[in-house]
Amino acid sequence: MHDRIVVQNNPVKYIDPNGKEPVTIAVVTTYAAYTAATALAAGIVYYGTPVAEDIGTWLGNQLFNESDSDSGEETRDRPPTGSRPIDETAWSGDHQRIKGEVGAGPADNVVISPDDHIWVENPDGSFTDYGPASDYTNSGKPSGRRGKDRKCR
Amino acid sequence: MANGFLLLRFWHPTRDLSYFSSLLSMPCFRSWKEGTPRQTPIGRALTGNYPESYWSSRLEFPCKAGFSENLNFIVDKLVMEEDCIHDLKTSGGKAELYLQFPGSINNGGSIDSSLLKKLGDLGVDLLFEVFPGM
Repeated sequence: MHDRIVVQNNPVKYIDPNGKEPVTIAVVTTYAAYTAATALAAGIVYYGTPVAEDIGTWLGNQLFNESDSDSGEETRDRPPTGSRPIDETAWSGDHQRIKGEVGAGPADNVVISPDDHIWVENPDGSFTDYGPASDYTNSGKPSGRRGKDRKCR
Repeated sequence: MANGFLLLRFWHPTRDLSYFSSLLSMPCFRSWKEGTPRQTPIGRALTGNYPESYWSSRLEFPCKAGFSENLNFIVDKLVMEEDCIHDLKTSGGKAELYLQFPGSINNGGSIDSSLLKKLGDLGVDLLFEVFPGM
């Protein structure tokens, strides 16, 4: 493995002079091992400098702990960044229907991700993806929010 | 006029619950079988399989008229199939009646003690939720 990968090829900027940064070093080292393993698995020799975006993606996956449940459902410890409660989105008018469609109940937290997917909180606090909200309305479009982008019925 | 909805829902760890449509003569709103691939209502594939079976039927009621008529209608059907409901429950299943009220107008109703007793004897849970602005 390239020595300078640990300090992102910049030993001047990324140093640990007093040895008091175990977490940072552990994360970067683990990322380096992950990168090397990925490269080896792909038959690629990795010489480049890891970019912030790569680290961000990798770290995000570790933090979100994206995983599959026993049934293979896509579950996450939390919904995707930028998700909002369904009541605060244009899908608010479809809240009743969606809860019936996905088998959610009064106490279940339903949020909409930035790509308009429905995520429902499970009893253990994890979230499951139920796909595009547009699949849950007859028109494929949101009914709108009360008093804002929807006429009163 | 805003309307409310009354959902009758069953869950079971393994059983195919589609027989409830004919058993209760009620249209299925959404159902799936345990172990089958997950999908959205229009058939778009989702990751994984369903961990349990689900069946639901949905009745709409005008809030002006109230929910009592629909609730009695469903409970009477359930009482007629009491053995099946008990069998579902004792084999690990779950039965629910889910009342969804629109929150845009004043609405309400009463559930008398005899109806509550029927629900209790059947082992059917009663859920309420108000949806503001619906």
